Amino acid sequence: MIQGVICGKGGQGVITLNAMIGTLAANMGIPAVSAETHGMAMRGGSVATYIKIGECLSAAVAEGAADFIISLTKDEALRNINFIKKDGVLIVDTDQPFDLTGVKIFSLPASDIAEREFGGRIYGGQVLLGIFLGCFDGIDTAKALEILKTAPKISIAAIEYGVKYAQTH
Amino acid sequence: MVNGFFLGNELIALAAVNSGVKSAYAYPGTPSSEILSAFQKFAPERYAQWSLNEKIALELASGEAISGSSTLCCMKMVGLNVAADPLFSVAYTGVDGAMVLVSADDPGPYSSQTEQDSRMYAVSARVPVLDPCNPQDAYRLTMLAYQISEKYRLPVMVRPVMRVCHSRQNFMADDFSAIPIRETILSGTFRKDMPRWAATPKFRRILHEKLNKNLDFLAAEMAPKIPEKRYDMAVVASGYAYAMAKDVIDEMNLPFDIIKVDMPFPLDRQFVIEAEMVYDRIVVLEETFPVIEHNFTIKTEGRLTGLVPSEGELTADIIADILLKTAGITRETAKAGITVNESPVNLKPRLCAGCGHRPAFYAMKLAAPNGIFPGDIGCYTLGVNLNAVDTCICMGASITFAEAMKRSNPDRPVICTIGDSTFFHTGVAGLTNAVVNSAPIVVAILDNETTAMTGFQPVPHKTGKLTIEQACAGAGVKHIVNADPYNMKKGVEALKQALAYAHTDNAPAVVIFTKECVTKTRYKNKKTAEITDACTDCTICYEKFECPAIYRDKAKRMAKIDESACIGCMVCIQVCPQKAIGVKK
Repeated sequence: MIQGVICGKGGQGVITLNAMIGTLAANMGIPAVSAETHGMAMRGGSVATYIKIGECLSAAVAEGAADFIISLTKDEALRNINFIKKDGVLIVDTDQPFDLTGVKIFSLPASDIAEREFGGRIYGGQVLLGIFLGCFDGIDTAKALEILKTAPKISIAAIEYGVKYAQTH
Repeated sequence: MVNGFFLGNELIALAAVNSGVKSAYAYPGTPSSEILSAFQKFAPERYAQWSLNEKIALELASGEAISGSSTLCCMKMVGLNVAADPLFSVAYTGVDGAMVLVSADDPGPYSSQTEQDSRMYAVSARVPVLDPCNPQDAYRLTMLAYQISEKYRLPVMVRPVMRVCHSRQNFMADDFSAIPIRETILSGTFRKDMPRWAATPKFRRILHEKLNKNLDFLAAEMAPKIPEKRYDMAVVASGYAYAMAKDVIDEMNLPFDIIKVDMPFPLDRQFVIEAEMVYDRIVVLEETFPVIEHNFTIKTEGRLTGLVPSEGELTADIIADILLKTAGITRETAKAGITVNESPVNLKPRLCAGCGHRPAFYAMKLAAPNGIFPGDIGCYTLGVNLNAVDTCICMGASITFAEAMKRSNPDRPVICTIGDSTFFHTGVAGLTNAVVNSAPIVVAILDNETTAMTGFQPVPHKTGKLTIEQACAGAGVKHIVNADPYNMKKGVEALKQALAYAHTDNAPAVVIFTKECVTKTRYKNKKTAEITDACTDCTICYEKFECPAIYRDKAKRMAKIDESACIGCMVCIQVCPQKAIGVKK
């Protein structure tokens, strides 16, 4: 089982990113459960979502148990850092460095890159998704990309950028 | 055939569709709102209504179900407070078709005023209640709820918590092929039965007795199964607490048998006695009140014994701690080895950049610096950030609180705020009361032409069949003024005139601030505001006015516009005392 936290600010596409990963898992025939927060939190506040990929009933991630955190801001990554386990993977959209040890960090200004390379900041999330797909041994990256091939071309390009980034960093 | 990653709310709707539901009624409220929209998506040819409030929704669903149809009614738990009156009565009369009431709870709470447990209403009203543990289970139990409702002719409640409503899970309709999916829509015709549908107190006692017998049969039919005994300790759990407990026990290999309770009420007596005989210790885990736990008398621990915290959401960590403590196991921390040398900046939810509510609140403070500002439920509760919301109690309570506050504080101006959807929900009755009882208050109706907080459900006055002005006039209000919140000067003027009218005529005045929700107009104005060198960093635009598109440039010691966030409402230009903001050329 792979479990993690996907977080950011309201309106950044956190819930969409979580649903993309879950949908991908479902299409790969892997069970998954996620949990989101809606409502008041949406109005620019912190949004944290959880996902467990594998056999389980709940999406409740315990502290120190997350294999990964994907965050659309540095602050939200830090706010949820208590969830990550030793040597877990931290994937963050930021141009700021982290003062943090004990985890593997992929930090890059994904939205800026997406705006430059793919014509929209919104594709930053898909760059992070690509990194996630590329950095876990437990995920069949080739199979995932095969399933994703029906997605819009720009999305695929952003995801592939992320996969390549993960494999070269 | 469906195959994908679905929200709990979507699967509840799908189960209703597959159970042959004819009509669905709801009032939006987090975390229940997506159920009706999903019902509309899955079955666009069937009837779905966003009712004006939950009491109306439940009465409509009940009325159709009494006529032999199958209906769905959805709300959040505080909505059930509004709908409690018909619920208690329909529990006695029952239905002739089928009716499922979904009341979504919000342990935490995340988006609500309380952590109340809808299952307590079920117990009190004597309505069977099913408590799903995740989205797949929500589908299964909603299907089951319709079967129970049809078989026993009773309204049945499904109570998902937020973590079930807003969880997603992989789902294929084939997973549940064992349950037959009804092909036809269940719709009937009304059969007269006065002793039942119009029961007088004498007949009510008979209905109560019938109901109690039905509940006993149902409890026996639905009795939880005690598994083959492996351990001396057992967890008895329902809902999301069950899903978390099952995962924790499996992952940590803890010495507990686990028993799932699908239906916390009515709970079979025999099951409870048997469980107490079989096990040495029983831990009951449920959210948020001890509904199941109250049935047990010996060997049992939970909220009543202080083992389980009485407030807040249960988490995997809390459940793990409870079970480890009960089993006498100590856990080593997994976090060792990670050092964090920085901490995050706090983010609080704020009204959007360009939101029409912000200038309306700001105008209220300018018009009545020593005013009292009762608020209401919606995005505009965030007016607390602008110090323009002094109370927030429940839907519609802004206007009644304004009347009360004015009576207790006659020397201070009172301006209350209420959104358009909330106004039609329960505001009209409060406004009528204020008119009848000569309350010299100002009611600011913040009209953004949608129910924004819960996901943009429609509002009555956008149907073109009535207006807010007509509703106010119908309630007897004589002073009704419209104002554009983007025009600060005119907004303040309108409020001052309304306060003067209320004072001299001893009657409520209404100011309607209309501005379409900014999430719909976001990309209309290409121009943005710009800060000039005249800025003295007085902090008003980004702190008091709290526009999220303005921040402090620390190096230059002045305010700065975030052009990607600025909507171009240009209200900050009117707010700046230094005249240091202009339109960017």
